[in-house]
Amino acid sequence: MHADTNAVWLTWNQNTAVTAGTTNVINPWYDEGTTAALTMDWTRWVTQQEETAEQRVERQRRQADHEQRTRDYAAARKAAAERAEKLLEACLSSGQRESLRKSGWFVVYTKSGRAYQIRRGRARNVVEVNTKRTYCCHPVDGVPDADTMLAQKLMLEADEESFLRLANVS
Amino acid sequence: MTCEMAVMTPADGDLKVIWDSDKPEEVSHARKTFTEFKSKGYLAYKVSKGGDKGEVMKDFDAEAEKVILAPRMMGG
Repeated sequence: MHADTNAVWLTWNQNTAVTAGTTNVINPWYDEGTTAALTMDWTRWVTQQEETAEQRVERQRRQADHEQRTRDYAAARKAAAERAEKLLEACLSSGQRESLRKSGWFVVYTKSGRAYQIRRGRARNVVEVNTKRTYCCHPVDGVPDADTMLAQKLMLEADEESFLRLANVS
Repeated sequence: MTCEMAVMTPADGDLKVIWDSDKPEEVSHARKTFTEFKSKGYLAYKVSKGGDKGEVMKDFDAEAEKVILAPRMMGG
């Protein structure tokens, strides 16, 4: 610890119980931090933060790079969603396709005789037609919504028992 | 016979693998893809060309007309 700081600390320790003692501590600290000294420190800090021409070029290059990656990612997600939509449509009957286009949902009939409405979306989008129960069961991966809906359809048709065991019901 | 496999992935939405069941090298590639995704927990369904009458597949079937691999499911 610096000698001056040590002295201040000792003074503070001895005087914390009274207001006058606290003032004694504050004053030396405050007095040392003159306006001139503070301005000098601020100027030095600002100077250190100013970027050079090379740094500016590098920063702009990184920013452009980041923006390009964001655009590429959005385009890839859009293309994936379009492919998933085509796959879903290819696996629906003409009636299901029409219902999906018009209303945003289609109905699946399972081997048990139940009917489920699969709505556009990922979570809480499967509704049993008779009971109006809502089921939430979806792929662990963040696939496009059309893939999610197809995965739900396939599982309900081929393995309804597992779907019902996994799903949260409300 | 020409067969096809569609794999649902976050990046592709629908990753297609097409093989001729009479060409061993194409069958081998399709089998490898099937095994790779199954080992990641994907669920495999054998469906008709129209996408219905799906049944769960445990093992690769080189003669399957259409196969769809979907990611493992979870309750939400």
